[in-house]
This record gives sequence, C-alpha cells and structure tokens, in this order.
Amino acid sequence: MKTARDILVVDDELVITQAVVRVCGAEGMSVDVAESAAAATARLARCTYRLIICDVMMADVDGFQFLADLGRRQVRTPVIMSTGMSTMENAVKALYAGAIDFIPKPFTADELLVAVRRGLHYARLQDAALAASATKRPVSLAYVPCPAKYYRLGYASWVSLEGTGTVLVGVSDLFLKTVDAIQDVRLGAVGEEVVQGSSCATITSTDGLDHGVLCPVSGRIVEVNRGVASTPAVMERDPYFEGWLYRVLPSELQYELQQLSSCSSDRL
Amino acid sequence: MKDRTRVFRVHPDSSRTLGIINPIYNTKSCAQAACHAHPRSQVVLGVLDVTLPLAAVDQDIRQGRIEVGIFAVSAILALSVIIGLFVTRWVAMPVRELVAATRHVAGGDLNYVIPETRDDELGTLARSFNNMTHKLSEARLQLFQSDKLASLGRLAAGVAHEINNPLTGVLTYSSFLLKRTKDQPEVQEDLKVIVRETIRCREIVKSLLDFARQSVPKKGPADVNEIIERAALVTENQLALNHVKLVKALGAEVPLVTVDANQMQQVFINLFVNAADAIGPEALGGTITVTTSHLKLSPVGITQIKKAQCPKRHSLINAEVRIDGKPSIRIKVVSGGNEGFIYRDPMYGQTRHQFGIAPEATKATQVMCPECSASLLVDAASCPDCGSAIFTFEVPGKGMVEGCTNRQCTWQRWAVVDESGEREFVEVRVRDTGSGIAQEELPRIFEPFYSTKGQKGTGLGLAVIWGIIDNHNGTIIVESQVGAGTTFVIRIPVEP
Repeated sequence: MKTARDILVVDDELVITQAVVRVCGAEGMSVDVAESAAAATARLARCTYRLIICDVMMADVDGFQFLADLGRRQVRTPVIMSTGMSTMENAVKALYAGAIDFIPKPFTADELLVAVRRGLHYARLQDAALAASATKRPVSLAYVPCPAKYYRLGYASWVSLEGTGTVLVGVSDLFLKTVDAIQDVRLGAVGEEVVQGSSCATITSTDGLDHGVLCPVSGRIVEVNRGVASTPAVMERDPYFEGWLYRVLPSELQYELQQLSSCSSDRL
Repeated sequence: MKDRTRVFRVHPDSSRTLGIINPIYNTKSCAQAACHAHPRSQVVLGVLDVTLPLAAVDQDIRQGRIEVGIFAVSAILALSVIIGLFVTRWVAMPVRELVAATRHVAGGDLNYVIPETRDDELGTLARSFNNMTHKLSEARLQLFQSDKLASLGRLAAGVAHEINNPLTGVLTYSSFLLKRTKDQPEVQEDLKVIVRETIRCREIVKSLLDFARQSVPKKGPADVNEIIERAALVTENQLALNHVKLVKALGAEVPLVTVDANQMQQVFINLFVNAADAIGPEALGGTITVTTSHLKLSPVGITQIKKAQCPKRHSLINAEVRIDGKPSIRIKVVSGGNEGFIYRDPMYGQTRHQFGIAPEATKATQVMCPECSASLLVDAASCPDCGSAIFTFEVPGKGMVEGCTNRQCTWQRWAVVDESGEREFVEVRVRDTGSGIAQEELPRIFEPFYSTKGQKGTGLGLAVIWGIIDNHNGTIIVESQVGAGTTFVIRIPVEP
C-alpha cells in the first residue's frame, strides 16, 4: 500500500523546494521534495500524491518531458508547472501539454497557495468525476465540461468563435468549482489589449483569495459582459453562455488556436 | 632631273659627292652659227658633268640633326615636367588621398571622410567612396548589433532564469513572514518594503525575458499608418504633458506589411516616448515628425529563405544551427567516403555557410536530404562560375534555389528573387527636435542596459525595438546631431 501525501515538489533548486515545504507545510499540507525527475519517479513509486509542482528546467529531463512521461505511465496526479523562464509562451505551452496551472517564478507565498489550493480542489473534483464514471453516473454531476466547438486554455478559460470575426472569452465551470464562491470580479475595459497566456481578469473568492484568469486569445476587448460585472454569480450559474467575460477582436486567432485544446475532442 | 643627278662616294670611306650631268643639245644657234657649225643631224653635242663634294653639306645636316634632337628632347622634358606637375596637382594627390582613405577603411576606421571639394570624376569618386564607407559602417553596426544582441539575448534569458530562482526564495519567505507577522506592525512595514522591492525585481527580470524572447512574432497584414495612429493615441497624453507636438506625414500609398501589429505598436510608442524625453520638459515644447513612405531596394542579400524542402517534401530548415540568429538550411553531403552536413546561410545572396564536412569537388560528391537521402543534385547542369556540380531545393511557393557544391564557389541562384527586381519596403522616419545623441554614443544606444536617462530608464527600450525590427527582417538606423535632434529610420519589407 502506497503512502498518501499531499504535494510533491520537483525542482533542482533547494531554496524553491524548501520554500514550498515551509509555505504549504504551514497550512498543514504534507509536502515531499524531489530534486530531479528521476527522484520524482522514484517517489511516485512509493507514494501517491494529490498534486505535483514541477519546474520546467531541470538538470536531467525538462518538465514538459516529465509531464509526458507521467501521461504515458497513466499517473493521473494533476501537475502545476513553474519556471524561471516565466513567459506567456511557456504558460500556454505548459497548459497545452496538460499541466493544470502555471506559476511563474518568482512567486509570493499567496500566489503559490492560491494555485496549490485550486490544484487540490481540482484533484478532488477529478477523483469525484472518476468515482462518478465508475458508478456510470454522468460526469456533469461533478462539473459541466465546456461545450463542443469551444476551445480551452488548460482547464481554466475558454474561447468560442462567433461568426462575425469576434470571439467570446469566459471561465470554465471546472475552474469556478476549484475556487470558493465568487465575491467579486475585476474586469478589463473596452479597448484594452489582452494577451494569450497572461492574466485578463481577477476573481476574488469568498475566502479572500485572488485568482488570475489567463486569457485564451490575444486581441482587443470590444465588449465587456455587464451582467457579469454587476452580478458575478452569473458566471457560476451559466459559465459557458450567459457568463462570458469579454467579446474580443482577436489579433492572431489562427495561430493561437493551435495552442488551445478543442473541447470537442474532450468528449470522445 | 632625277636621272641626271647622283650622289656617290668615290671611296667607301670618303664623304659624299654630288654629280650632275647636263647634255648639250644641238640647238638652232649651234647649227647655224658662223664660228664652228655643227652638222644639223647631230642631236647631242656634248655632256657637261659637274661633281660637287657634299662634305660641307653633310656636316651642316649632322649639325642640324643634333640641334633638332636636343631641342626635341628638351621640349619633351619641359612639357613632361609641366604635365607632370599638373597631373600631380589634379590627379595623383586626390588619388593618393583615396588610397590613404582605403588604407584607413581597411584598417577599420569607417568614419574616415575624404573632402568632397571637386566637381569632376574624382569628386564623384570621393563622394561615392564616402557614401560607401558610410553604408559599410551602417552595415557593420547592424551586423555587430545583430550578433551581440543575439548572444546577449541568450545570456539575458539564462541570467533571468538563474536570478528568478533565488528571487523566488526571497519573495516566498518574505511574503510568508508578512503573512505570519500580522500582529507585529513594526516588522510588517519593513517586510512590505522587501516584498515590494522583490516584486520590482521580478518586473525587471520579466522585461528582460520579454526582450530575450526568441519567439517568432505573430504576424499578419497590417497598415503601418494605422499602427502609428494607434501608438500616437496611446502616447497623446504623455506628449501633451511635455508640450510636444506629434506631426504625422503619413504616405497615402503605403502598402500593407506583414508584421506583429502589437510589437510594432510597441516600437512606435517607445520611439515617441524616447523622443519626448529627448526634447525634455525644460525645452518648452518641441516637435516629433513621423513620416511613412514606400521604397524599392534590391532583394539580393536581404531575403531570408525561411522554408526549404527536398523533392520528398522533408524540411531542410534547421533551427539548432543558426546563422546570424536565423535557422540555417541543412543538407547532407557524402564525399570521398565521409559524410556530414552543410548548414547554408538562409540569407539569400550571403555566404556565411557552416561546413561540417569539406566536400571534394568531384563527380562522386553526393548532396542529399538529411531525412530521406533523396539526391538534391541537378544532373543536367553545372555551375556557371566554376563548372562544379550544382544542387537544388524547393522553397514552397517560391520556386527553386540552386547552389554550387564547390566550397570555394559562392554561386547561387533563386530565379524568383533574382527576377523579381527590386524589393519593396515601407520606411518610417521618426524625427525629433530633441537634444540629439553624441556621435560616440550612437553605436551603443541599441545595447541592452545602455541608458542616457539615468535612473529613469531600464536601458531596454531601444534594445527591445531593435529585437522586434530584426524579428521582422527589417532594419533600424539612427541619425543624430547634438542640439538639433535625432531621426530613427525603420525599414520593413512588404513581402515577409
């Protein structure tokens, strides 16, 4: 029987792993440390984890390869990627590769905790979904997946093409389920530029934490959903239709769609 | 008369003698004279033969010859001296200056200028020489920047990554302490400073990473005039605060260019803000003039081969070996029992190839696709320069590029580009009436961290601009005069 632990942090920098141990340990989470992908693999053989935090640049194999290896070995533990090369491209690439979140280094204790809490929520929801499918109940009892023909960045934000050249951008139900009830939403203004992979809205949950929403496309905001701005709960009620955030005039849609996952393929 | 005179020598050693014979004919007066009448039938009565020694005449002739010779020689000498003086004054000295200038330039001093005082061919030569060194120094600066920035970019990315790790330690521990010491207000204040300043470090490193990003810009067709209008709108307030007027002289027939509109907008915003800073608040106003125009230049040497494939459509582009920062074209060569790769310069017309193998210029040399080993050799043709075998690959949609297998030979042909005539560019000039940049600072202004604004700037603005323009296969040059202002000239190719 494998030991059940909360978090495995994989990084070749001792100061990072120790910081994660301190911050998450203070919150009562059990944290293990691996200084390389090989050490992480060895740890995974002995213990099960609810969440893995993994650096992109490591001495032996890079984080993306480690992520792919986990997929091949059918390890279902959600992975949060982190790197000192904190560019939008790396964020988008990590999310496309299957990471559930991306924390750019350097991060504050709060930024780390917010991502970890969401990650643990995600793991719980995933377990619930798994349990539900085992009992042949529909997945949508745990959360509503994004509709077909939508595209998503990681599991957090979605984009839906409108016939008119503009796109709608919103937050997925799964993301909303990983945060506490929404208290407030801070949105950008019409005319502002948004960039794929960088934060375009901040959701404050009732536990006082701020959650950045990474925008799935780049472009200019042409309309902000006033309904959501006045009553953020609309997002929770109907995340994929009424609860959209922005209507965006995309600048590089064709290029950026290649970095997004299609929601249609999720349903196969 | 000729028949009656003769010049002869009595003895081979004696001087010349002139002999004249004159026949005496039987005239009427002779036949009828009373004294000694000659019979009427006789025609010739006698011959008068005179011989004159020519010694004196010969002496005179010799004398004359010598005099003429001496005169001719001295006249030629005098004339040569005069012509020589003129040539020295009007031709040799300027040519010597030119030669001296070429030595200076060869020695690396590209700022050497010859006085352009004359209106003739030599004046034209001096002007074209000065023009050439000027262009050469610009090209060298561009090349130098490109190399330096490419390596600095890699360095910056590496450094950013290295710095972010210890910075994470500082930021997590300090923010963690901040969370845990909520009941100690005196510690809180100090910790807040640490967290705030560490976050400031994070922003600096992030801008460094943005600068170092080697990613391909997300390009699409865009109107440069429109991008400039947008940049103008963004900087409007800041310029108005400094009493700076932005004059837009945007060309009416500027074609669309394929650019990353966001990045280009950043370029113009940076340039406008820089210009406003150069004008300064104490100048009580100034003007930024931005002009756009449509321009045509020869494409050879400035066109990048971005796609290349073998007959079986395997890509030959190799991103690992880069030449001047651009992915090279990799081909496999089997020659004399060895095999290796040649990485060809992707800039068509340039020859900075890298050879992983020295191919022999024999018929047995094979040139092939590294992926499927399909031959790239052209059977029916040979290099028009050196006669060696030639190879070819396809640039999808843009025809075939041919090259020579001989390492020493620089021949290459890309019919589509060669025949396309001049290449079109959009030129943007941003001129300000600011303080100008000193001549000695000009070569350094595109370097990262080089700032003349002291504490105000990060010194990354122009380096970022340079990187963006370079990513668009464009060029940026700067002309400046202290006290008069600065002009930035950006050229972006219309065809990507």
